[in-house]
Amino acid sequence: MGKYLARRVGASLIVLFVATLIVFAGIRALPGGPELALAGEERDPESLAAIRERYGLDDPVPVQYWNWITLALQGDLGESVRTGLEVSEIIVTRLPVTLELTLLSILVALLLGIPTGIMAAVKQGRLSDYVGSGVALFGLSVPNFWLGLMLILIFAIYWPLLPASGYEPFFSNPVENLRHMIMPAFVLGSGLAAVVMRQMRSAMLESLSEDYVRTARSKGLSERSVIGVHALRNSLITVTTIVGLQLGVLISGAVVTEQIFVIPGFGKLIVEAVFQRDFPVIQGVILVTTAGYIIANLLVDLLYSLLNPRIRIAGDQP
Amino acid sequence: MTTAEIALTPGARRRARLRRRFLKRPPAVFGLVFSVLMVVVALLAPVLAPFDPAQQDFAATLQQPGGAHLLGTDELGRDVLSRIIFGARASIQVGVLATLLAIVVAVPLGLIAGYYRGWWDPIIMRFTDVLLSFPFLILAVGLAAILGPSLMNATLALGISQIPQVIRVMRGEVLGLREEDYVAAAVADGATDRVILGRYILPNALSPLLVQATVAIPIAIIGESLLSFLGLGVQPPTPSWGVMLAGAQSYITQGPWLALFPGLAIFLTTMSFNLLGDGLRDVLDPKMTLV
Repeated sequence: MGKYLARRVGASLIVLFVATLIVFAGIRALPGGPELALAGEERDPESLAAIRERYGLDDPVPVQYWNWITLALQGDLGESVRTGLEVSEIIVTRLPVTLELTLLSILVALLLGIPTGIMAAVKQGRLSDYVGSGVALFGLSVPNFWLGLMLILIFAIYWPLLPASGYEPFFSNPVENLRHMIMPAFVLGSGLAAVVMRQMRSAMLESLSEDYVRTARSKGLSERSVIGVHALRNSLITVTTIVGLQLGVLISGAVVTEQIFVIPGFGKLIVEAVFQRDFPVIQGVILVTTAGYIIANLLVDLLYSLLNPRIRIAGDQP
Repeated sequence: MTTAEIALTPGARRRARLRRRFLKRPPAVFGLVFSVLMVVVALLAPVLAPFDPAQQDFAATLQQPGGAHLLGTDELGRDVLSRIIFGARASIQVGVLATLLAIVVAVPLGLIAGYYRGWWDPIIMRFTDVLLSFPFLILAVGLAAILGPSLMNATLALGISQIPQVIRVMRGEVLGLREEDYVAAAVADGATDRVILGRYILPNALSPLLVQATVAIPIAIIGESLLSFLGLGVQPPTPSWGVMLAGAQSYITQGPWLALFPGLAIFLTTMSFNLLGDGLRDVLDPKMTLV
């Protein structure tokens, strides 16, 4: 386990390092050089010189990278060229919104995907299997931003039950917060629900044909405990990794979902920043998202190896 | 088996068997027919569209579906059906070009990583890890910020985001194929690496590659409409399904059909490519499970 852990963490650190190099290079690849991008509206020679000074743009490139990354690690991601606010401050206020949306959508996906997956596997080849698999195919093919528009049309316009857009902080009004979040969480979670359902179905089918399930049945255990305890436990391992693998899709989906439902999170922030050409904000958001994504993937991997001893042992071999 | 079939070469017999197996799957056949139909619609858009997609008619704005405008008109009086037909061009073009880009870059890398192993393999695999460490939309948004939003840059971003998946599929396939007896025989026969890769390994890796392509095309099509919806892909007034949906958002109460039809077009197109991909996978590679 120790060796596997060290190798996996090491690989993640290399990936993280290269990813920061790419993000760093991004702004430097802009036409006109980084100082124009960082200057925003103020393009007089004095402010350009001040920016060259502040970001050390006359230093050799490796030194520039070092300065940039050490500042970033201390939480200094520069200032927005539009609002003058600290980028790290903007990120700290926007991040919890996106985290809530993502967690709720994972919850939706698990609540929808796991039971339907089990049902489809247990009733394999029968009507409920076909219906479940059909709905999953629908969930995979339907673009989630269109689903969002259709839900707004149905549940906010024709049948005004839920707010069409906006956000209410959880701690000021939990009920309103959830009312605003139901549709976005469903929209973002529906694709993942389909993936979880298909994964759950095939994992359950595999588990149900294993010897230990036959043993459990022959011991006279009820079908409920055979499926609910013996077969389910192993299938859940697969689902854990699938949710991990889909994190990138969720992050991408959050960008669009926030745009449709006008939720002031990370995704809306980066799209706004691109249109305003607010490069420090773009760079900061990409850096934080990518780092978070790499770390989350590492954690999922480690969790997976804890749940599944076979991987742990195979990973320790050279 | 009929006498006519016995006369066929083994390759032709295999193709006939695969065709029969494919035709036995109605969803896959539907997927194939609809995908081909969309490609034809994209190619023949100027012939098929009943109106000029850019032609505005302020006497007929926000007309309901039916009548002269089968799918209604938008806020500028443009014909929705014609815009959907022309919008297929952007979608199919991005779907195909992004996938081709990914294949052209990834197949050689996958071949090298899987066949030569050594120090190439970890370097190429770390490279795919780095690409995978950017959620695709974040990568696309970053590229749009640097290069500026356009159809070409959207294609580039979507193609790049598919590269790691194709490398992985290719490498995995080559790792298995290089252990096959006929490869060992070719090595013993003194065949060069180029001959082994080109004649023995690549042709045998084509099936999974084809399946991966049918997976990549719908992802790129959804990606294009998504980027265009955000304003980072096709720029209005060029019709694209994503651009149409973005415009529809402001008129959702007065003209709900503006949001309905372009979305249906995206949905049916991506679903048909998905069904085609599922069918091809079942026929070409029964070992792969449906995930």
